[in-house]
Amino acid sequence: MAQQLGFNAARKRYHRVFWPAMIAYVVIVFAGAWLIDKNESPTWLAATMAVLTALPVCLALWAMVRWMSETDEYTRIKHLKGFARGAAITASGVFILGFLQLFEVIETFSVFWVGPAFFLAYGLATCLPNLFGKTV
Amino acid sequence: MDNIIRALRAEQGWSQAALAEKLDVSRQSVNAIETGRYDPSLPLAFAIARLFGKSIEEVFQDPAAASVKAAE
Repeated sequence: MAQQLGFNAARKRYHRVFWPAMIAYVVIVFAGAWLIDKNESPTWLAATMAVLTALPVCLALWAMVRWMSETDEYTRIKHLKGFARGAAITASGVFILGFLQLFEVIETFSVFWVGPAFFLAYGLATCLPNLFGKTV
Repeated sequence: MDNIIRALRAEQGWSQAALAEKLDVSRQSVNAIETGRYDPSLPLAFAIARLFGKSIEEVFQDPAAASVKAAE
């Protein structure tokens, strides 16, 4: 586990990685939309752009985990619980959809939505307990 | 765990945000500790007590210990 820095220093370190990563993500998404033609672009170019687009998101995810390790104890436990609950909810959904697909009840589901679903579940699992007075 | 942080903070005229800044924690942390929804670790409890110039026992009270004492 990373060294605990305290709330303010951890937040600064997080913002220093998160915002450049998000700006890079937006730039690469637009560059990909401009560069890639599904019918004509070679596979290597499409694959390179796909990985390049995902990399800033991976970096932001790493920054979030580092922030959780370094921030104050209350914020850490609150977000780690939200993260774990979000991961459990998303994994449960993936298992259900996976078996539905295996038993040919549904055709396919796009793996792309697993990431956004996780972030949504993480956000809800972190915020919703506050509405009921439970914070950690 | 019960505590008298809100009263100590009021004595000093500090807001929750000001106390959070001094302890280098989030304002939500101070709120959760004050309202008893979160029990701080020993290092943080020591830091809080030190900031107000008190001992941990003066700032935090264990309700279970108080009921044992009352039974005696």
